[in-house]
Order: sequence, then C-alpha cells, then structure tokens
Amino acid sequence: MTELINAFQMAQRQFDHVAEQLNLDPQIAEVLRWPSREFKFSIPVRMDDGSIRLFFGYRVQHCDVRGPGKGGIRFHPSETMDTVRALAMWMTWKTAVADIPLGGGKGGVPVDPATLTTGEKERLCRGWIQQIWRNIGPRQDVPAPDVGTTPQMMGWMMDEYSKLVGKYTPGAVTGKPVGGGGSLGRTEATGYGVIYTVREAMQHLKLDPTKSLAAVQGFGNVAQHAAIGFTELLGGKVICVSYWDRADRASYTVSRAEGIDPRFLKSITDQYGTIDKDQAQKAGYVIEDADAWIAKDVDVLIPAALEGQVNAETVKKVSDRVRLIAEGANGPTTPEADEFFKANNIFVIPDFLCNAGGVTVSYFEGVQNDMNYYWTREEALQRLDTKMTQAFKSVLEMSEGEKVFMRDAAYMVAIKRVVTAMELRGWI
Amino acid sequence: MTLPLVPSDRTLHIYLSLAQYPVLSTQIRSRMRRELFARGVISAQAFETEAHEKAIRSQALEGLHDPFSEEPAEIWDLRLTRVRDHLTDFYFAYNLPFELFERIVRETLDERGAGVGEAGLSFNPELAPQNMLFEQASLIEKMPPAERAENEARLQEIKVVLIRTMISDQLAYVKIAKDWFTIADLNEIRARKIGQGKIGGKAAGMLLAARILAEEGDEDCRSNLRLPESYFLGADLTYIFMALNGLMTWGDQKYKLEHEIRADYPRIQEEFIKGEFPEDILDRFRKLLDKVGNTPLIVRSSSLLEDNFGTSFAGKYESYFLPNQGDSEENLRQFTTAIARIYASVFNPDALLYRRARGLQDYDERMAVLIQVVQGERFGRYFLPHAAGVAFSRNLYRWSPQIRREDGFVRIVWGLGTRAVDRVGNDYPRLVALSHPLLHPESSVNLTRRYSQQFVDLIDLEENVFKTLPVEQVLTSHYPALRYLFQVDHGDYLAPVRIMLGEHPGHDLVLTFDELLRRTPFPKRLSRMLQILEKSYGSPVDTEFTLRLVDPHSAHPEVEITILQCRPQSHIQESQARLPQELDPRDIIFSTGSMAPQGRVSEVDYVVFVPPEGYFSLPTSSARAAVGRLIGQINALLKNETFICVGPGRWGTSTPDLGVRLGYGDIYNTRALVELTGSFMGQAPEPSFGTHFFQDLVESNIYPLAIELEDPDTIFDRAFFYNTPNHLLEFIPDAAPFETSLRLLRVADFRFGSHLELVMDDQAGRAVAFLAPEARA
Repeated sequence: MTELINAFQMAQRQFDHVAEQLNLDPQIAEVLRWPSREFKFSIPVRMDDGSIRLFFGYRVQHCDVRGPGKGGIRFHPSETMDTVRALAMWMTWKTAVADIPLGGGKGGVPVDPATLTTGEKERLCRGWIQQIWRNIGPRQDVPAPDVGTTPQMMGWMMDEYSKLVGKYTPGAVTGKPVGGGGSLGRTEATGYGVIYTVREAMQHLKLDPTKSLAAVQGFGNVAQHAAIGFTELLGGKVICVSYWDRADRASYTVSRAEGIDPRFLKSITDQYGTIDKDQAQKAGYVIEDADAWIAKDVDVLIPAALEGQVNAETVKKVSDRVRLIAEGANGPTTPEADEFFKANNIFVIPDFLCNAGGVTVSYFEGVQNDMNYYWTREEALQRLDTKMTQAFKSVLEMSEGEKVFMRDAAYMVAIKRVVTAMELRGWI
Repeated sequence: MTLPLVPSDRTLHIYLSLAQYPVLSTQIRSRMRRELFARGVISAQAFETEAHEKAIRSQALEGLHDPFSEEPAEIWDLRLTRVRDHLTDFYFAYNLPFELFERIVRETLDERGAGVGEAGLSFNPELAPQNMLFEQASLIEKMPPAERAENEARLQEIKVVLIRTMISDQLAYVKIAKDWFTIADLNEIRARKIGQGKIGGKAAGMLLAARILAEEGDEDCRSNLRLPESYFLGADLTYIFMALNGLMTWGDQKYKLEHEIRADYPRIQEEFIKGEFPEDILDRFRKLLDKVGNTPLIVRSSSLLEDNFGTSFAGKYESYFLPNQGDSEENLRQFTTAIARIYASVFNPDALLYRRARGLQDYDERMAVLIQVVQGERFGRYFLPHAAGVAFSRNLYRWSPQIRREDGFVRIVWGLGTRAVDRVGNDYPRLVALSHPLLHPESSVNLTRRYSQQFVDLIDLEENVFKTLPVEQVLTSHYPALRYLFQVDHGDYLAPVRIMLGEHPGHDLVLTFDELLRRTPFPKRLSRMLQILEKSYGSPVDTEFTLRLVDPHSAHPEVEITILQCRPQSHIQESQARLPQELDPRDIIFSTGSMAPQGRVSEVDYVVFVPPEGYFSLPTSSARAAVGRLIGQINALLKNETFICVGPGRWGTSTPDLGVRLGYGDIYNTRALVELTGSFMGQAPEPSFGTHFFQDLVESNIYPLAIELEDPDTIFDRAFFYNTPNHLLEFIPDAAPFETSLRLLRVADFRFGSHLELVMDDQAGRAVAFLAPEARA
C-alpha cells in the first residue's frame, strides 16, 4: 500500500466532504474525524529457531456509539497506524450503512504472514490477543479476519481470549471456522450480498436480469459468489471473469459469449485463485488480456478484485451498454472514473454498501454465538438478503431525496445514523 | 425676507461669539459678507437693498417716519451698519457652515497676532468657536505631565462645554461622560456630525457605552465589541428645517388640548414630509450616502429628552429603516423623508402627552437624528443580523429562584431587533436570564414552541423595503447561523440541529437560541458588558444590541456584539419601586419576601381572591374549572379598573388540583397575579409564576408574585381577604354556588376612601401591598 497519499487523511477528507453535504455540526464532525481509541503494543514471539522476534500490533476503535467495534485484523507488511485508522473509520460507516448495531474498528500487524510458520503464526495471534484482550470482547470490539488472516487464526484468537477471561466466549472474534463458532453462509456472504444489491438496483433501473449480461473482474471468493449469484439467483448471464495467474504472473480475462459456468470454473481454480487455462480453453472458454473484462458489451460490471482497477485509463473502454457498476471490491473506482459514471448516468452501487454482506454475516455470527444457537445456511442468507435490501433502499432514498450520487448518499445515510445514535445516547 | 422671528441658536451663537471681539467683529463680519457674496448666497446688491429696506422699516419701529430729515447722517449710518451686521449673521448662519465662521474668526485673530495659544488663556469656552476649543484642548493634552496637570481643570471645562454643546446637556449624563470621553472621541463625533446643536440622547448613550466598554472591558470584551458606523444630525437642524419650510407655526402644539394635538398630527406629518432641506445640508447628506454606499441604514430619533436619565420615550418617537438600494436620488429622497418624519414625530400626540404627564412639557425639545449603518448580513435577497435584542443589566423577571438578578436579562430575536424592542402582540422573543441562559421560562417543549418567535423583521433588498415575514419563509438550510438559533422539535424534546438536509428545513424547527447560549461565549460576554456599564453609570442600564457569529461554520465561532444604544434602566422608575420609609403595619394587606420583582401597581381598587379552602373543597374538577371561567368574566367586566388576583397555587395550571385553571385570555386585564403557597397545597410546589403564560405576563407587564403563607416573615391580612364583602354576585348574578370559592373584593369596603398600592422593591427584596388614601382628583 503506497504511503504517498496518507490513507487516514484521505478518509478524513472524504468524511469532511460528506459532512458538508449533510450540513453537519462542525463540533460533531470534529469528534468523528478522529478515532475514539487507539492501541499500539509490542508482541514478542518465540520463533521456531528459539529466537525471540518483536512484532508490533495495532487496534483502532473509531466509534462505538452504535455498538461494539467491528473490523478485521490485517497481517500485511505495509500496515501503519494511519492505514488502520482509515480502515477503522471506514468500518464505522460500513456497519452503519448496513444498519447493523456495531461500530468501526480495525487492527493489524506489519508482517508478511508468508514468512511465518504455522506455529509462529499461532503464537503471533495469541500474543496479539494477550496484549489487547482487556479492550476487546463481544460488548467492546470484535475482530475478524482480513488481509493476511484466516478463519483458522480467528479460532486461535477466540480460544486465547476465552482462556484469558476464563469463559468460553465465541463472540469475541468472528470469521471463525464453521464448527468452531462460525456461521453458515459466511463464505458466500459478500458475493451474494453484492448480488442482492445488484438485484435491487436492476429493479430500480428497470433492467430484466434474465435478459442481462454481466462482466466480473476477479475470481476470488467475492467474485466467484457474485458470478454464481448473478447466474443462479438472478438468472442472468456472466460472460467473463478475470483472474491472477500465479504461474504467468499476469492477469487474464476468461470469457464465453453464451455465458460462463461459474461452478465449473471454480472447480478448476486452485486455492490461490488461479484458473487452469488449458482446462478452460478445452471447455470452450476464450483467454483474453487482463482488461478485456471492462470492455465487454454488458449491462452490469462487477469489479471484485483489487482497488483502483476502474480508473481514468480503463474507464474509456466501458461500453455504452453498461448501466450498472457493482463494487464488490474495496475502492475499485478512482475519482476520475467516478466522474465518468456520473456524467454518463451510470448507476454505481458503492463498495461499502455493495460488499457489506461480509460484515453483516460476521454480525450474524456474533448473534448466533450470543444465543448459542446456529441458523441453517438458508436462514442466514435469507436474513442477509433482508439486511442488504433494506440498506440498499435507504441509500437509494437518500440519493433521490437529496439528489446526490449513490456513493455520497451511502456516506450520508451512514453518518446520519451515527450522529443520531450519538444524540440519542446524549454524547452530544 | 424678514429677520426670523424664530429663536435660532445658530444666529445667536454667531452673535455671541462675535460679541467677544468688539473691535475685530467689524472685520470678521466684513469677511463673512465677502464669503456670502463669493459663494453666491446673496449678491452684494441685493444684500445692500435689503439692508436699506430693513433700516427704513426699523426707523418706523423706532417712531421715525422721514428716513432722511429726522435722523442725522451718522446715526443713519450706525443704524445701517447694525442692520447689516444682523443680516450678515443671519445669512451666514442659515447658509454657510459654522466651521467656516470659526475659520474666519481664527484667521482674523491670527492676522492680529492674537494666536490661539494666547487667546486661550482668556477666552470664554462657553462662547468660543468649537475649533478653538478643540485646538486648545489638544494643546493641553499634548503638554508634558506637569504642565498638563496645571491645565487639567481647563481641559475638564472645555470637555464639559464640548459635551454639553455637542452631545447632551443633561447634567446626569455630563457628569458621567466627562470622565470617559477624550478630546479625540469628541473630535470624532464632530467629524460625523451634520449641522449645529447636540446629537441627542440615543447617540449620546451609545457613544458613552462604547467608550466605557473600550476603557473598562477586558481584552475579550474589547476585541468582540463593535460600534455601528454612525452619523449625527445636530438638534438645531430641526429649527432650521422648520423655519425654512414655514413650519414654526406648529411650535405651540404642546400647549394645545389633547384632541387638537391628535387632530393636527396627520397634517403636521404631511407638511413636514413636503419640507425641504437647505442646499449645504443636502450636499452633506449626499456625501454621507455616497460614503456608506448601498448599505441599509437606520435613521433614528435622538431627541434631547429621549433616553436620558430618568425618562424614556420608548416607542414615542420614530425610527426608520432605509434599505438604501435605489439610485442616489431615490436614496436621498427616502433619507430626507425619514428625517422629516422624525422631526414631525416631536409633535406626535403620544410623545406630547407623555411629556405633559411627566412634566417635561416646557422643555425646548429638539430632535437630533442618529444615522446608523444597519448591522446584519446579506442572506439571499434579505438583510438581517444573526440576532438582536434588548439587554438589561438587572433581571426584573425571575421565573425561578436560582436566577441571579444582577447577571442581567435579555430579550433576543432573530433578525432586526425591532421585534424585541417593541412588544408585538402576536409573537415572542426568547427571554434569557443571563445567570442561567438555558433555563427557559416555559416548562415544556410545547410551551417553548408556542412562546417562540414566529416572524422575523428584515430588509428585503430586492424590494427595497423593511418587512416582517414568517420565519419559515426566510429560513433555508443554508442559513449560516441556523444551528445556533434553532432547535429541532422531536415531539417530547428539543435537540440541536446536527444534520440539515434539503433546501427547506421544514416545520419542526423552533427558535430557542439555546445553542447560541450554550456553545458561544455570548451570554457571559454580554453579562460582563452589562455589569461594567451598570457600574460606570452608577445605575442599572438597558441596551440594544445586535450580534454576529463570526465564521458560523467553524467549530467554535466567535460572537461580536454591537451596542446600538444604552440608557439607565428606566422603565421602572427608581422612586416608584421603593418601599416607603415608614409603613404603618395596620395598612399592610400582604407582604412577601419570595422573589419579589421590581415595580409598582398603583391605585388598586379591586382584588380577585380565590380562597384556598373554598377552592379545594369544590367537589369536582369541573367545578374548579368553572372558577377559572368566572375569573375570565370578571377580567372582562373589570377592564377599566385596576385589580390584582390572589389565589392558591399556580395561576394558569392545566391541573385544577395545582391551582386555578385558566388561560392568559382570562386574566390579561389584571395587573398582578399572586400565588399563595402553603401546606394546603400538599407538598408545596415551588412558585411557578404563571409558567404557562409567563411570557404573556412579561409582554403585558403583569407582575407575578408569590406569597408563602407559612413563612414567618409573610404578612397576610385574613380579615381583608375573608371579611370584606364579596361583590361577585353583583357582577355575575348566577355565580352563587361559587361565593365561597371566589371573592371579588372592593378595597374601599375594607377601609373607606382607600385603595391598595402594591410596591415590589427589588432592593429590599419585598413586595408589599398597603392601603393608601385616595389622592385622585
């Protein structure tokens, strides 16, 4: 992650912009521009070779007025306090727009997990909890997996927390493996969440999904389930996905004019998301260059890979037919591309609304942990649909009422909910 | 043209000034004539002709009929010279600026080698030209300390003369002002003054307050205090204007009968509006208007009597807002019309009768005019200040025991302050106790909303007029000070405006000013200013002010306060609200120490009394409610009488168990509402002072009072309240069932030829109602 632009300052600027649109009380804006708590701590870890290596851990709790903090833990070499702050603030808006009773938090350790053995990772995870356990928990702040962390790690963390407090406390961490306190439906949550909002948007735009085509960027967890959802839940056709080929160190677009079969492609994808080209070609798929996906003559574009993929350069290739962009990834669209979409009246479902399915099922996981009763996959997904649909509708209403772009509307809905909670709790 | 019959200070002043120079006056006058001719006021020929005619006419007055044979040539010459001199003074006074006269005097003296410094030692400040006074004074001010100390008395004398001639001759004012004004201040006033004479009470008060605050205020006060850009028309301009337009015939108006005064006034106004100003004055008006540009102005009366210590002409004389948005001719026309209207208002029947009543009739009242740039901001097509109002250094309206009187009291409104200054029937300013700014007089959200401002006074720049508009018509979400003035009504509570979406904020906003009072230094700052003024004036003061939020979008905006006016708090006369030194205990009907307001109700003939026992023994709520309705009828029947109401618990409660249930409409003719509290109320509630319509009471000057019956210091003459005959049935024959729960008492029945005087003495902390003999004619 580049530090040329300070991520936290960007997050503040974005917030300031929305605060102005909301005509938000400047004294309250000042409160929300800053995290309410920040923790930085050291984690000495006994390495497999017997040496002790010192790691640093972060946890930022931006706002817990609507409920306990919620947000992932990132193990990534370029993690800094400011990236964590920015993401924590962003989580406040995300939980608020999804209207789940949680706040915003984020944590991390600057480390490349690929350099650690499994045992070292476990000790790092447990060490992280040992330092922060007093300040997290089901009623305080609930971590979850993020870049570089996995469900397995969440299991360790939950265990460590439970040992330290002396009680089985599964709700202290979410994103745990199913059977270890995790929720069914979590795997497909984000991708399906994307599709629920796509369905609502298409209904609003009066597009018939069964007559519509979509192009998906990426083929990781979110993209896979978005593709499956678009075909199976909506009855539409996805005509391409793209992926990162580890062997070639390059991206490709995998297309089929009459529609891809996402489950087939998933079956020939390895654990790192690389599709077996040969098998795909044998099955009649065409391999194209990385950017081919964005130029497709489709109704819906679903960028579900990395940030900044839809930018001033690539946006020029977008077909006239495109009516809807669903941001499955975080920050896939640059401001320049945003302007293009505004100018061409292309409807955008902004990322933190579009991909809020993940955090919503994380919340469901906590709910199930608390009541110690677990839903079926269908129940979980049904509730996810209800939540995502409500969230979409409230943003659309704001957008139409205030005549603002969906992205601004989503922020406005979120900030308004946070401010209302502050007021009702008497903080302000 | 004849010599004016009117008294003219201008001519007189020149005459008296010249009298100081018996020899040089000839030279001075000759120079004055040269100026008159050179400036085309009158030609030399016409002047000479007029002098001749007048000289001949004066012979006739002195009994001579043949101009040439009956008078020796040298006498005739003397006659002619004297007439010439008078004519010179007259033409000069009425056509050329006084400053020019002063310059001629100075130049003539200088030529003689009689420099100002020299002359200064011997001249009489009362008669000396103003320029000379200023020069002399600044000379003294610049002296080294030792030398200056020697001349301090002289400086003081000059200052007093300048204050008296330029500002106000009210001794109480001069006494304070001389300690504060510097020569530089006075010079500044002179530079902004048009015409001769004083600048009057309102201007005087404003300038003095500003000076005191600049001197005594701390850094916080000084850096946030503003004085509006102001100009003054000297009071003598009134007479010049009247003389020039043949309006002097109205001079005796004040001695006419009331019906004549009233009948004449419309015509007076008409004639004044038609009047014209002398060209040199018009010229200065034009320059003034050029200088201020297209900014709205307010033209205010500033009469010599007005605003001075002990009298208040509140609302008797006029003020006019001039949007000043037309072309320069149109602006000038509106400007002069406004001034003429203000001049005419000297003959306003209300003002004349007020003067008659106060014994001010024989004073030679003149009208100076104060011209101020209106304080405010442009908002779309409108122009208005963020807030404005009236502030009192003493809080006479305490609606709760913890309110500290000495911290002051404010009536504040959004927009122009007219709504706070004048008591407008259908609308309410926010009342602020500066010791507890957030403590509303009202007890519930509903009442807060009901007693909130609904209309806003402003200047419509597009239509070039002053207007009163409904609040929601003016307000948009973009109004910068919105969140400081308004709150959102959530039904059961009011909350600050956190977020404001949409163009129009909707109907759930209420003007409470709470955020201004909570979040800005305004209340503390204003309270401090009032205390400083009170201390320096040696008496409580009331002020008019506007306020501006500096950068309202920032997290912590500053508040600038502009003082528009300051005067001793005079609407309750000191002497009136003081308890008599010796009161015979037998005369006292009741006396109470709980939270007495300040004021007096004189000549109370009737008392409406609700006996607690009788009232609470009424069997049903509806019977108790009927008592409220009966009082409403009494209120209407006694509309021409002076009466007060005394009853258990809260007047105007909605729960008849807590007191008499009635509305403001049932009670508005009373002069005081007295709450009785005691154990009969169960757990005695705190006195509430008509909480439900407290603001109505304030607006209509009805005094709320409480009597704690079980307080050992309380006097409550039961014989008066219970044994005096009840006249209820005479007024309302079918009220027989309520004879024990409602008593209508005539004071004279208790003691023949007497009435009640109710004196609420803030200083003594007591309110006393006592019997006094009838003194009326």
